[in-house]
Amino acid sequence: MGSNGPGSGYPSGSHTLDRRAFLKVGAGLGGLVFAGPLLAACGGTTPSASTGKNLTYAYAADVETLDPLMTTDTTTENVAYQMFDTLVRMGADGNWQGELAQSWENPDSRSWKFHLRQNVKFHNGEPFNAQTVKFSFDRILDPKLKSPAAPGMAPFDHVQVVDDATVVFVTKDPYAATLAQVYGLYIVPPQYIGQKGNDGFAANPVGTGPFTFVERQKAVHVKMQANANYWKGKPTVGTLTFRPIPEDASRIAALQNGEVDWIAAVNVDRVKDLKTNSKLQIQSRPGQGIYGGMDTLKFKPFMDKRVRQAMNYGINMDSIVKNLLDGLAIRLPSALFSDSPGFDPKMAPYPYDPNKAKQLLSDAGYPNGFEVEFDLPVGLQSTQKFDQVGQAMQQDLAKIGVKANIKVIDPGTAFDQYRAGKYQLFLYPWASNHEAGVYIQTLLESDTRGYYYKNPQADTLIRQYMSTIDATQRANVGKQMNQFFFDDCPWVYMYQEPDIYGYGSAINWKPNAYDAYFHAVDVKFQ
Amino acid sequence: MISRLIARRLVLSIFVILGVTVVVFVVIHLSGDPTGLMLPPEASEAEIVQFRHQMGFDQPLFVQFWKFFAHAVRGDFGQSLQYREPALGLVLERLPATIQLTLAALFVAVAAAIPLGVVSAVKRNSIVDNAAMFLALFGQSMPIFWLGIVLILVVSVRWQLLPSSGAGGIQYLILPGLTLGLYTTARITRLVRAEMLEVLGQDYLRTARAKGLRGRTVVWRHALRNAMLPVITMIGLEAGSMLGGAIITETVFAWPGVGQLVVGAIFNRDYPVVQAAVFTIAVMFVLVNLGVDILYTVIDPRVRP
Repeated sequence: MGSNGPGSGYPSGSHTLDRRAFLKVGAGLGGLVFAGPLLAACGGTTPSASTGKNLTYAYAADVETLDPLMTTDTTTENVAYQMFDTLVRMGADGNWQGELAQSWENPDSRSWKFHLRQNVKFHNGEPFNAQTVKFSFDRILDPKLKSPAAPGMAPFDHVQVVDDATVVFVTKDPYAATLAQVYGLYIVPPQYIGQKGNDGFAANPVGTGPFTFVERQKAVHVKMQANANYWKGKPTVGTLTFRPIPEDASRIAALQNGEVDWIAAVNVDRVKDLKTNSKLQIQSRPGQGIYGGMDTLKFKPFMDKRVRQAMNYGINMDSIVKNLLDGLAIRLPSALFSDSPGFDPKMAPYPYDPNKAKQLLSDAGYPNGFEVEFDLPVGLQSTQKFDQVGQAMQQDLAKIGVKANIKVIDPGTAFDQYRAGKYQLFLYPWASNHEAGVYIQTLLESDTRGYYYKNPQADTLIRQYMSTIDATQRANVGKQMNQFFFDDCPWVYMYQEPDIYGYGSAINWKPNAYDAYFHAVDVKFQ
Repeated sequence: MISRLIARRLVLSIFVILGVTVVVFVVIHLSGDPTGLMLPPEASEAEIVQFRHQMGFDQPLFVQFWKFFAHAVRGDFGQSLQYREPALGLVLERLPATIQLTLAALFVAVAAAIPLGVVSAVKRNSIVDNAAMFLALFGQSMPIFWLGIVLILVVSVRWQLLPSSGAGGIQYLILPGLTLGLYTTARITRLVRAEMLEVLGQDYLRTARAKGLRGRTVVWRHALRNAMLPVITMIGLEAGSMLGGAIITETVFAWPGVGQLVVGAIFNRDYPVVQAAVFTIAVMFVLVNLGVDILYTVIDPRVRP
């Protein structure tokens, strides 16, 4: 509002008012308005371009904790990965790369033997070795700690130290997704935690990672700086600052303004507009998968495979991807992600064919369609446009005689209702992990959840997929499994939402299609 | 005398705070637990059951309430499920930022609204009055969210004058302060004008003028003081609700106040934080109202007990 604010705009010629008294008030107001630019100018908050070695990156939420083993929250992990290392990491080519582990092998189908990097030290000088790996593993499972990350380690029986440089992870059954879970095991310093306690560690975290902790101001920032002794060499980024900016438009404004250099979770509707800004780069990667769940256990029409197939034929998913998600989402033909082991690139998704859909409905005994409740947990896990996508699906379904009654579900209660089996037809996000098998096992195997779908044949295939260690064999099983799900249709197959990032043109970095996590150590400057 | 008033009000307040706490406990617990949001997506049914047991979510509601209550009376609202820290501490940490924002907004509102309202009333139907009333209507009908974004786009992105969001020096406070303050300005201006119009028509003001008092003395000392009573009530209420966290303003400007914390806690079913926040907000509200009542007695001798 500037100097034309309500106070200063008042004409001073009034006779009934005390001018001096009035001016006092006006001066106060004006002072507040004018102090800003002045302070900004001398306070050093003038936005700095990302030409230096400082990088400020912003997500929509604050970190939950700085203890990396006490969270499963994505944003929190995107800070944890800057200060902590894991044994392996997902490379840009889709292959696992050694980090703190130099190599690994399988002495038998249940054992994963890791050969560890030598002479790596934590930020406080404490040595990294096989004992620290075992300590970190045991710490996640410590019942006193109540770590929400514990379920991820459930497939493991124990971790065994062979010598300082060798450690073996023993799984309960042969487990193909071992490396994906090991990627979530941050290595933490036992001595330091022993001295400082869990709270002290969370307040002042120490890892082996590329950046060391400097300061955290809750809901404002986490500051880190380059670890000069990092085992891969000092990172290019010198000072690294994380900032939470919850509002999408404000986050983008901060990027345009140069207050932050890199942002995540750009709204799909803003992409076109931002791409015209030559100072910015907008890049995306395939993010979390979205599926249309169907209750195949209790809702009568969905018990028939033909009806489920009709649901897939009867919705114009290509149009939804093109028109609502700006063509940035990746369509999924079946349960596996397009980058998962065993995915067949030749597999085409269900085409939009309303006539075929009607025929199938008629064959199944529903020539006039049926009515179904359609639950949309709008806003759950930052999903994009569930309301609009749901409406588009509703319109398509109406054309084949299926009357879908939309009900918007509060994200906080979505899981309870999902778990209670209360949904008939629903949209749900699942994962953005390359190892889609883990989620397929959770969602579609009878024993793990079995809330909406149970099929012994699917169980066999999933178990086989998750227990085949050999890559070639596993790919074959994966292909078979995906074909089975394509035909059996436990879900309406939809797409992977795009994860969209915006950052300054001087930043030399590309999102990794196989890895949802941001590693600031990869950032270089042009 | 005043101390008796304070004591009586404080005793009443305890029941108010207690009531609010119980209602919020029941509502938030009935609407589901945070298991699904806290566990990784691949958690199996068995793990979900185990986790709920570990956290005590599988116990009957009254058992959970009793446990909560027994601790809460000692000021222990439990650990935040999301942040793994004492919930009350998390809320209190955020309070200074919220108080800062509230004071800034109130400063803007009071500094602008009182002169505007008074002038509008004195120069009724003049251009000034019309302009002020238009501004008031505009300020009140404009969504805070929109105003905040527009200020960011114009002042920060276009003019590069102020930071767009975050917290630090006073320069970070200006835009959120203006955004939040403008809305309140609008409400208070209208009220001041209405009250002044009523007071200005009273006989004792005619008397004051008749005995030769200067116009400005009549308006500012005699009229305004009498018009201020309901205005102070409104300022108090506004302050009370702002202290509970200006949710939208804090979110738009990434301001680290209570409001932002509470929204996140509600979405994540972080019961302890919601409870601690509600408790804190209720206490703030009660205190502000008490302050307003005491101010009454200073301004208007008739109210003194």
